[in-house]
Amino acid sequence: MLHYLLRNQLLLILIGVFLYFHFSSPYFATGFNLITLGREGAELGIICIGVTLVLILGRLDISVGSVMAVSALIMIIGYKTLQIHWGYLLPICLVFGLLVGAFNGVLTAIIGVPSFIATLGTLIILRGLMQWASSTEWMREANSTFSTDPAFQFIGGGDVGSTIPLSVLLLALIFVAVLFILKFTKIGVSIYAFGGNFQAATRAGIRVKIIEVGVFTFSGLCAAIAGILLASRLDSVTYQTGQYLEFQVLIAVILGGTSIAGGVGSIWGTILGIGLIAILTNGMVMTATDRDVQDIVLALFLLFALFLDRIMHKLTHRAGAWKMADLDRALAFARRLTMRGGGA
Amino acid sequence: MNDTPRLSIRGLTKKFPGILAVSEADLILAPGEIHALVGENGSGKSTLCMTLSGVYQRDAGEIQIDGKHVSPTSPRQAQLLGVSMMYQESNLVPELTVSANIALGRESFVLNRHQTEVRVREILNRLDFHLDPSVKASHLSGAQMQMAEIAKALYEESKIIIMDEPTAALSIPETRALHKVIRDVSATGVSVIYISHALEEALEIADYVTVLRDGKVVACRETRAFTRGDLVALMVGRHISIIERPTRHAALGEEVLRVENVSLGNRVKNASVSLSRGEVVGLAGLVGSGRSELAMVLCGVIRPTAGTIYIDGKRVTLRSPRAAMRHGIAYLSENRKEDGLFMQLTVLTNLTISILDRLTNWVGLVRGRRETVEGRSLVDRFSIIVPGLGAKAQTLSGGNQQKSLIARLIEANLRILIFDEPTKGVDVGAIESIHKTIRSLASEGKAVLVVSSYLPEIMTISDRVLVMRDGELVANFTAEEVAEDKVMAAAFG
Repeated sequence: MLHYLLRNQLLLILIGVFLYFHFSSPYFATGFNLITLGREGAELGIICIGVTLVLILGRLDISVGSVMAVSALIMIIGYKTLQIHWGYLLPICLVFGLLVGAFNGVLTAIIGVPSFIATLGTLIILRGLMQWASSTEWMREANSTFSTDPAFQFIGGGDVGSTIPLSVLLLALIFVAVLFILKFTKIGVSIYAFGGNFQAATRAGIRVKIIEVGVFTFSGLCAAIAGILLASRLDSVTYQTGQYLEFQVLIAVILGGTSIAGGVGSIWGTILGIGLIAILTNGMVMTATDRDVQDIVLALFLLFALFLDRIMHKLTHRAGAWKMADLDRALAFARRLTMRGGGA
Repeated sequence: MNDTPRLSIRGLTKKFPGILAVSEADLILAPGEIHALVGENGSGKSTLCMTLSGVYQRDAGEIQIDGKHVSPTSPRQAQLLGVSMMYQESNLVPELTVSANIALGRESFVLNRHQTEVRVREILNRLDFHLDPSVKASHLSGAQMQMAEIAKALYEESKIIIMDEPTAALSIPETRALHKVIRDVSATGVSVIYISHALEEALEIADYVTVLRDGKVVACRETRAFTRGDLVALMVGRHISIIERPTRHAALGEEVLRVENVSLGNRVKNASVSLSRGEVVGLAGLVGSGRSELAMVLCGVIRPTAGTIYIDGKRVTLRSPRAAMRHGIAYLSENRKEDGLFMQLTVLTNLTISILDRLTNWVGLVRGRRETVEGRSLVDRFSIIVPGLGAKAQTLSGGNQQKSLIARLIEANLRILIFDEPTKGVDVGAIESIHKTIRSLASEGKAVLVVSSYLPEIMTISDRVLVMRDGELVANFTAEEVAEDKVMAAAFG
């Protein structure tokens, strides 16, 4: 019920924001811009799908932005400076993403480091690598030339049948695959169970460590794929690439109704969240909104969505007659308050 | 039955920091045997079983299943060996449906929801549990959660099923249905380990009974060889009688709490209660009859949808537990782990946290020495058994945790005490001392309301017994007229 409402109100906001930009900028709803919007959204979206799964586990992955950046760095420097064919670089990038993801997963699942700290560590290491690389000759050389291979440009910038961007198709493919896994397989149930009640999942015989490492690895892979698309589309990389992207990702996923506490969330919601973020970001560029103001607007939207969620929750729960389950939940909640309220 | 036992445990030992939870325990289980494990809280029953189900790893000893040495290191491995366990605390995933919860960990790779639901329905029907498999677990009440847990243990066709206090939240007809199912599955060769505090139940259903005390097996015999008195004596190591009526105090004080026509949705309907100084009122009724809800209204946890509350004759609105405390009302929750104790903090902190104001010096700093002295006197007064005042609350047994909580509550010096299931999951020895405490509180002039599902308890300590059924107060017995059969008749309607 809650998610249904949240998803719907999100859809309404999405349409409203779209119409607002349509009327305030003549360039916004042009075919060219919408395709650009789709491409930007697709890269963000692929990362968000991975992060949604991590959040359903009740964990955090804030390293995705820098994984994407380093993946793009490998593509750009390898292809443009070191003249390695990009076909060889693709698997290297994917393996890089898998390894970083698995590293995060092993740190949290097996060594027991809180996921926020583990992925913060990864983030800082990879950011350091970006800083270092950007001061080298390689980077200067890479960014001073243009790539000429149309096949390379096609990955992130090409349209299949000259209408649908390849990256959007890729997003759709990953979306369908993950949707299937979440809804119809044992892995999906296990992921929800892990986040919903870890002890119950362990005691039910679910291989919790494998699930956790697997989900982090998948998240890393998604970020690496996004990096490849980005490298091909922009044909350059700087030390700022993907900086603070993790916040945009978190905003999109949480807007989509996924709980940071774990156990709750859907990638349908995430897709809508990404749509909203992509439209907002692109629309604000089109209407020449100041960069700093853009961040503030994004954050306000997140807070607003959470606020609306609480209000809707309260209204729907007040309106009807007392239901047994509602009352039980209210009682359970009240019981928790007893202690905090300084009671017995 | 063939000669190889289904399960054979020899010399099993499990240590926790500071506590020897299980010490050289032996247990033999034949195929199709129902084996009851009884003992006080903290006697090692649950720990023994969790070692078997792979939650804990043993420190010494051996486990054989069907003659083969095994050492399950995870619940998953135990499952593969044919051991499934129903745990005491809720192990449901709130966002998943009942049927998904029951099948959790046993699904095929691509889910077959329809087939799972058919099987779950079949099990629930067999158990005579009225539970909708397609509803989310977060919508279940306490008793329904327990039903789902039981169905979960039966879902996998295991060789050994362990049930830890399966009937704690069940009504009598549900308990009967469960016992019938346990007999049915054991007839097919499945062995069942049945942990229970309700000795009558253990004597009724089990073929063999093992009694544990302080982590050691003190007796293991055929059920016929035991009487209830024997079991109690073996469990506590001495003879005590818990059904022993104390002398009543005839003179009651003035009325302190009066509730008129209080309702809470359809859970409590038009309830009117009055409570006087120096009296203990027992509130009986089946689980779900609205007793706990009424208690929660009285202590400000939840606001009633209708009705008025008077304290000392003055009309009050209890907006929060804090407001209730200001009016002198204290509440002992039935869920000590979630609502009462700070499990990660020390016993001392848990005891003194409500009275720190009294233990501070003029700057406002807590005076450590005085706190320790106070804590030690509480531990002595309530005979709480602790490894030390600095031990974490989670290392205590259930009975000692409850005693600590009661000690804290009483030290806060409030006039109206509401105890919700004060002896739930507490061992026989501790029950006795908690009952004594409650009586002595009344003779000090406090008003006490005790909500309890345990009828002998209500009979033992109450000056007056109220009975609830379907949210209504249906009977009010004085100490002279009250009798177990009358209360049961009123509760069942």
